[in-house]
Amino acid sequence: MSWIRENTLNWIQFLAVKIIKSGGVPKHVAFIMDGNRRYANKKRVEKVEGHTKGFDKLAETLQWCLDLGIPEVTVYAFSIENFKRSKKEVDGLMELARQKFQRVLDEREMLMEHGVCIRVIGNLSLLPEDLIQTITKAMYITKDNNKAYLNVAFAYTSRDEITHAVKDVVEGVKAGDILPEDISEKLMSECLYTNCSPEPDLLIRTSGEVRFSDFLLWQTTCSCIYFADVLWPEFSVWDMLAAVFYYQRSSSDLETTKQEQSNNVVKHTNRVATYINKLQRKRENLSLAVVQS
Amino acid sequence: MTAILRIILALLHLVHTLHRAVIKGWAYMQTAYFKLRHGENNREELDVLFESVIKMEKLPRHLVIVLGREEPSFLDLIRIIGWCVATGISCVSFYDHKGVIRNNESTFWRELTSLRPDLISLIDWTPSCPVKAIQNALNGTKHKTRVQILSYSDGKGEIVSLTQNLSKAVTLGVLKLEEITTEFLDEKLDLGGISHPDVALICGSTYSTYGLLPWHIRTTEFFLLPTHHNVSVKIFVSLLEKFARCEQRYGK
Repeated sequence: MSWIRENTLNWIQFLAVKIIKSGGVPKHVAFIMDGNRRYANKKRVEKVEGHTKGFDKLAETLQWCLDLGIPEVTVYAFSIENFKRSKKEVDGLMELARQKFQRVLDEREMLMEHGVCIRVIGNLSLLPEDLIQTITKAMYITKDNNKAYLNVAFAYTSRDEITHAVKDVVEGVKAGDILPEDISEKLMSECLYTNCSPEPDLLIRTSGEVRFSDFLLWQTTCSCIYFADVLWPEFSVWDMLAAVFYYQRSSSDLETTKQEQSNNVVKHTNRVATYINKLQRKRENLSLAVVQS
Repeated sequence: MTAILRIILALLHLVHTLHRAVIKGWAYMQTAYFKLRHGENNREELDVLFESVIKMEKLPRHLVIVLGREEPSFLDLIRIIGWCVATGISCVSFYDHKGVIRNNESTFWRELTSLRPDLISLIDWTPSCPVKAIQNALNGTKHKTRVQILSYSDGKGEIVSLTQNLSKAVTLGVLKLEEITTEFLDEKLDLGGISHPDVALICGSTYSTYGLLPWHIRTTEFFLLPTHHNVSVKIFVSLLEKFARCEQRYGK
């Protein structure tokens, strides 16, 4: 199954998409794709089969997002905590990731044609060497695409991300690039893995669980949260539309909250801007080195 | 064509708004009926509370009320404190991102002392005291319910100021960069010795964290509380029941 799918909507779903789209749609939607294993249990198949179904659902959902005019999607594919699962399952998930990111390389033309930029956010150093290679290559070849953005959180937890940002900032002070008083909420935000993305407007979690499980905790302070009581492989276009409908109902509240919180944001000085540029160049060079090796 | 689609969407939103209004009206009537039958009696409320709590498998240790876009009603917040004390929830926090409660903490305290003087000896609350400073007062007061006021700056703001302090420490050479780990930060960002929130009740109909403690909410269960104004004990209990049914997997 590939990353880009043909449209699967029937006429009534198509009409519903058109109706919802005539109102405001979120610019960035994040997903916690929960429930693959419960789905596998329910269908009495192997866990990895559930995860494969979950990936197919992701491809389908991305198509719905494009249909709705949502340009950016972030998905929680694998948490650092998931390494605690059985070896068999972790190996299965790594193999699935290997195949799917290899697929990005194989389907390069199609992704370029659709202008899809793929970014993987997370602590890549925790992954097997060959997978890091494939992921970095996939990011590198799609990095200049700008029609749609897909961020895949892999070997990710929000706390790990914040810890890395804290370390980068502390290092910046130690090196004399910035001063302690330059450290602000905005600077921290720009040192996170998600520094290239706007904050998500809508976060959808499936499977009926009502918690964040260490996903984008820093970035979702003004996001609309939608908990869908359905397992991820069973997530339908109607669930997606219901979530966007709910977002439309909440958006004025969230907009006001956003403005209240933005009072805390100060503008960067030149010194800080220079430091952020330096940090980003350092990160780009690191991935370039992996691609070239 | 676009105009027609927009009209349909507007109608859908209108129908939904009406539907919500009916539900709200119904809930209001139920609360009023409960009051009519039982009067404004604390005892009756406590009976309802105890009857349900005794059947629950677990209770939150730390419950947060997120005010969202609602103005605080101290009277109702005090009722919630009373329920938490009665059920033995060891910490209740009130979060509003704008800091309205924090700015009016002395009024809140005055209202509490005049309305429910019986609660004073059962709670641990030091008004106008930053979260950290209470840490030492915690020893030997385990049976008391902690009351805590939180605002936006306790979340990202605390992380920013911790980072500033760490950067000074590393520059001075008293701390090594490698010593900064998630566990280390977790220790430094502890909420004055109390556990992380187990459950957060968000007031209103908009599901959002409003910036509540980003570091501390990864396992917090979030529920909507339609409003805290005139909140009925039944709704409060039903949310505790939902929490009791939640199962954590911690990544496994």
